[in-house]
Amino acid sequence: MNTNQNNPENIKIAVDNEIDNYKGFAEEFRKAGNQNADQAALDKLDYIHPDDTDLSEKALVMFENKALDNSVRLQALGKIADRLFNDTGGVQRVIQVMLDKTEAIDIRNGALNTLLSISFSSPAIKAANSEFMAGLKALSDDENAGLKSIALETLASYNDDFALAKIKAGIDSPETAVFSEAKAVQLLGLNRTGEYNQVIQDKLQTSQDADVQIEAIHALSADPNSEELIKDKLEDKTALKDVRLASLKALQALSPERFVTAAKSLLADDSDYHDIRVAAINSIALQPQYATVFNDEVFTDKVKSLSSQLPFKAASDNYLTNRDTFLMI
Amino acid sequence: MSIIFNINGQPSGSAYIGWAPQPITIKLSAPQSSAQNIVIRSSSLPSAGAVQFLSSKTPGVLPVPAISLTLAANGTELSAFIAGKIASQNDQDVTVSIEDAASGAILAKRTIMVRIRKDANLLTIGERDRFLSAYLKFNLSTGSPNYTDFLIMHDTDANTEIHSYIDQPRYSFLVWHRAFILDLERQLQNFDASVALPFWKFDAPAPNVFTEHFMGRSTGSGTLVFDPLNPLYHWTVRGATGIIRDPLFNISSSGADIPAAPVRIKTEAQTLALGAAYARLVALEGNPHGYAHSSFSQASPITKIVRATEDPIFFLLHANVDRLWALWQSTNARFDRANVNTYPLNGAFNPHVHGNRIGDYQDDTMWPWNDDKKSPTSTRPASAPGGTFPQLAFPAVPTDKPQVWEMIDYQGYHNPTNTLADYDHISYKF
Repeated sequence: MNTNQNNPENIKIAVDNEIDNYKGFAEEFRKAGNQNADQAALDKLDYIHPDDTDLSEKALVMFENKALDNSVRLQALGKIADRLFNDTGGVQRVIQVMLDKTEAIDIRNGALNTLLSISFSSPAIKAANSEFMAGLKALSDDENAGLKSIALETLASYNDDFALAKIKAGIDSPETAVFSEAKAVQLLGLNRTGEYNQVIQDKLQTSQDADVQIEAIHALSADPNSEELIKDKLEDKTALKDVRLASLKALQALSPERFVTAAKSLLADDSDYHDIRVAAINSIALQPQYATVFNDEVFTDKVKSLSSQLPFKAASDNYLTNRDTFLMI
Repeated sequence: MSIIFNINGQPSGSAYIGWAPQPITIKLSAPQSSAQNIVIRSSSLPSAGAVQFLSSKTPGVLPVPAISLTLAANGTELSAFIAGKIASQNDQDVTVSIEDAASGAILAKRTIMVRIRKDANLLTIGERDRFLSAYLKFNLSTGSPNYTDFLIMHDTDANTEIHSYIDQPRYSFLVWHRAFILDLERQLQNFDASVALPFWKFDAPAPNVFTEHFMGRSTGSGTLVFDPLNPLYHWTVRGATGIIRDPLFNISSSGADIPAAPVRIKTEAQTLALGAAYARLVALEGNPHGYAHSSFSQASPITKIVRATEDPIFFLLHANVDRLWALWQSTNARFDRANVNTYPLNGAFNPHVHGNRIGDYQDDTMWPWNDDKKSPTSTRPASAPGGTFPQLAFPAVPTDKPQVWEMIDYQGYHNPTNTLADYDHISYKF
């Protein structure tokens, strides 16, 4: 039950405990003079407060110290994310460890993922952007598949031409592929210039993999040149249901008028998938540009005839309710 | 005899309140020969909301379930206050009646909704579906503003305005995002006034959120699947379909997490423990805020500032960030804008004096609602999409070109008419 009665005392107690515990553990870490004591103190700390710059520096130095156990080094790294958020120099130091091929994969992976954990709006990542991007490019050729895939996906998300070209090369030569074909198509689709639309269209036409087709449809859903292809997929009764569902949405985005024609045809076909017909009805019910469909008596009668069937009831009710509202205005 | 019964200055129609007391006024519509003793009380169905009443909004005056008043024969208006006690689940599910104190006859009646921002993982199916329907309708609307404006308000050009930048912490990060999500919420309320923005409580598992019936279920490649009846099935951004959101964490058993990183998301208590001063609290921009954004695979738009608002979960994530600020305010009594621990930068930005940026100072108006664009004299972004801040009859705040300070006292402790939106379990302290 949502009430106007939180228990402020419980919250205050929890926060006060957090503050008191932190102070004690931070002091313990500050005074620790050997690896065992450092590790014991780090075990208790969930994070190092950004104001405690001496402690975060101590932890960063521990992370960089190859003489320490990897688990301790990663533990130390995990406490300094708050510092790294605003510390360009700290970020650069972690990048160096990330790229050091003499380091264990766990260390490098921890470094990469810690940087990604702060990457959303970190001023330090922005300031070190050129080093970070260069580091990711270096990792995209790394022997370690995990590092390589994260780096490539990250670069692709920034529309990096280098990464996208490598991903396309993986489609052309599957033996070199880092990603599944579906994921590769998805990543190429992140490029909004349309540079890879032809490649993606080819995959939509030739791949037998439903996941590949679905990713291709979404990637092409804003491309007018793909409208005919997507319409054909929707009307292909031999295609998998999920492929046709994706096609329905994409056709609607590309051409609302052709979508209406397709939706009416779908609704009239009692042999077609329920889910697709439900999606068609609901789409018209929920979207204002289809208000004129409400005047189509043939379509409306068909919706009414389906409303007694359980798979269609909710969508039919939506349509009829919105139709009534539209006609009253 | 008839009675004029105003809730928030409105004599009729649907009414919406939160936890904070709101004014009600009652008077006889015409003078009569004698005074009228009345009782104001409420009723509601099981599982519905509930309200309570106060004679005044003075600290220490506690709410009561019913309130007795005497209406003057000459028609003089009386005032009292009404506050939410239990959140509604449906629109107008609470009835407030004015009864003749002697006979119990109902003299006037209004309906009201205690509209509260709730944990998205705990919504009823009705609440969830009403929210999704309104969200989709705004996503597809072609009016002004529209959803594309909300994409632009959080894109590359906007980044330096709304987030911390190199050597320049953005103190107004929390303030601006509070206004941003409130704007979005009001756009949804244009389609369904009963809708309140739910929050994704990202430090705990939220299995009911990441389903095909709500925010989408991730497939192997990360593209979301929606039930065909889910309005979000039709979600479209810049003409493109398909949302990529691939959680790095187990949605059934974990809050936002990046297992391959040795760092964990801050809990609620850890976030509030950042400090009792606002200048310390804003460190949450990194963790938990940025961490939550980054807890998905990198192809997911939610991980990138420029594309984050393409994903409908953006506003649920930021509702939780705002809730954390609200919880911190409540815990530390941080509503007085004159207190530097509430917000550190008083006055207005002066380029000849200040090292911080315009938009950080309490008296600064906020982009984009102030229509301030990049110019030889302005460092704001190049465009100011979306128009002025949406105005409601109630609450009639903030102003259409809101200043930073208007977002601070969101429950109206120091400015009684300044109430914005309430969260469940963050009560008003009478």
